[in-house]
Amino acid sequence: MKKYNSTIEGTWAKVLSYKVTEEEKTTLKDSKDIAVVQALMADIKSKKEAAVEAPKLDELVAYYNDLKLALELKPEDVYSLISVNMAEVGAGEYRGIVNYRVGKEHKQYRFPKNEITTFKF
Amino acid sequence: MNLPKEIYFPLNMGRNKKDNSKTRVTAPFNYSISLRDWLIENGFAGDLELEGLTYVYVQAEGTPQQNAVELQEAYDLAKSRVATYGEQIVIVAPGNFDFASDFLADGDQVSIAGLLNRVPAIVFTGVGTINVTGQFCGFMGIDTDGKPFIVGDNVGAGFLNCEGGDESFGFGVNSVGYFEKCSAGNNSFGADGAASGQYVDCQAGDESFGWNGNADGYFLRCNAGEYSFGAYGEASGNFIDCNANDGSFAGFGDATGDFKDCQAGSASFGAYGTADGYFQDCRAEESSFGAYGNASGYFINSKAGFGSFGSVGTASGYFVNCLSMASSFGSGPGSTATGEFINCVGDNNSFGGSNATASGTFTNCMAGSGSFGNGISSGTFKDCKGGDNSFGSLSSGNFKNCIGGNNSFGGIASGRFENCIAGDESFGFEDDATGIFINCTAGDYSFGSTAGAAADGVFTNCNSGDFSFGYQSLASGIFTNCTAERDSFGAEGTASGIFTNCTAGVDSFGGGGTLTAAARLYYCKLAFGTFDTSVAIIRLSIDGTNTEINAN
Repeated sequence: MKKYNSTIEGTWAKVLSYKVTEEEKTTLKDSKDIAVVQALMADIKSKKEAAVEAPKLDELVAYYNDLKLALELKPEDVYSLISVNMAEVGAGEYRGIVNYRVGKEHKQYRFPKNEITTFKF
Repeated sequence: MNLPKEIYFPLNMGRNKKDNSKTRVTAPFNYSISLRDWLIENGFAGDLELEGLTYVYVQAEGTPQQNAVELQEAYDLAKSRVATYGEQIVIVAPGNFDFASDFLADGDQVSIAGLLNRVPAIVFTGVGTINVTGQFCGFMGIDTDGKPFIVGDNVGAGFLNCEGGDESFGFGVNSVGYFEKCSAGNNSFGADGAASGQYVDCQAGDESFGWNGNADGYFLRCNAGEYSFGAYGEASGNFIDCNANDGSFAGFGDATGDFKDCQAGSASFGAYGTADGYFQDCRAEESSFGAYGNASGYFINSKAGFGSFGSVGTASGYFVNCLSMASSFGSGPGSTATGEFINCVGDNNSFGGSNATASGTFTNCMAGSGSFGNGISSGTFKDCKGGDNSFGSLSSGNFKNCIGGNNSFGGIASGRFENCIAGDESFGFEDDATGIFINCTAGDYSFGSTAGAAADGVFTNCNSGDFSFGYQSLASGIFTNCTAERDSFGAEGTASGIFTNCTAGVDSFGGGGTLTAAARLYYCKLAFGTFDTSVAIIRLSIDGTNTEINAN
């Protein structure tokens, strides 16, 4: 199941599976050198995601734009994207969650169609 | 879970299963007695096999192995009925279930519920655990006895009162389900994947809730160990009253979500990345809230330990009623405090301390020594209080009603200072006081004093101690209604400015130095000593002998 992430509108990354090694975890935990930690985190991040190129990028951008329409934003709303994380559950079909703000208010939208995607007790 | 208040029993249960006729009875689903006891009391003791169109009952009265077989058969039966009767529930009496291999719960709309709403109700005691891949189903009261409670990728199921060991409820996958009152060991709830589901009153061990991934779901009253809640990724979800240990809430990544009443250990809340979210009533230990990166979010009533809030980075967010310890709020060489700070408190070297820059807006803030941009203080400061060496080596901002200790407000004091108070060697000590000073007070050696300095700003209603206002240097500014003690106003230096209604002690106004022809003294007074009347224009001034001086 392919997974995608976006924190900036128009930009998508493919989420890759990367298991952080024990050595890396130890460095992150124990190193007092901020530069070392930040460089290692940048390296880990680079292993956990890959750039998405067209035409997939176009597909994802279009899907996100449709998602935004479903949020029913008002013209006066100040919208800002926090993150979109989603998995491709079928050809062109995605399941995921959008975290966003309208002004300062934090909101979440689960899709498709914001239906209850989980069993409710 | 909504269990039926009434259930249908086939007539002559167990003796004629092909008979579709049914009798309607009220079931005892208040759980005050067991269903088995109730059935016995009501004359159904002869056959306790129980099933309806939407549920199957597992009595679990055999050995753990027999119970496992019974559960498997009941589950398979329920699965087979979904197409005809819709959602199914397998109701299971408390007991142990010994599966030789994992029990695969792969049926969509097939739920398993312990008869008693408590844990443990259904205990997987054998080698096999439960592996949930079915969608739109619920699981209640299941305990895997320390084994992983396996939940598959993007499984939209619900879990209530369930317990698992390490790597439970989604490990290495996207966790998108609904979890309530569930507990697990390390690496659980979307660890090494994503925690995108809804989590209420859940607990886990270390590296949980989206560790090495993202925590972008909804989290209410959840607790975890260290490096949890998107520790190596992004915490962009909604977090309410959640707790974790060190390195949590995107400790090594970006904390961009909403955080209310959350607590964490050190290096948390975007410590090595960005704290760009909304943080209200949050607590953390040292080096938290974008400590080594950027604290660019909204921080309300939040507290942290040493070196927090963009400490070695940038504090560019909005901070209200925040409290931290030393070296916080954009401090350290190369750091900047560019945000808006209201009613915030730090300790030493805070708010652009440690030779950093404070270029933001600071209102009613308080810190210890070396604070408020003791490198460059170029922001707007109102009602702020710092210790010694505060408010800039280069103090070019706008300061109103601020208090500093010794050696404060420059360095070069080129800003606007109104109603400010400082100790000795302040307002341009050993450097220039070129700004505008109104109603300011300082101790000795202040306002552009000592060799190489200059007091060439505009000074109104300012007071200082000995050796001030251009002592051993240059008093070339405009001084109105100012007072100082001895050796002030260009003493042992040069007094070339305009002095009106100014008062000083002995050897002042160029005493021991030069009172130049450019100088103008109007209505000035010397507490002791006399004026040099050789070249400067002096009008209606009184010297230390109470003699009125009008010269040149």
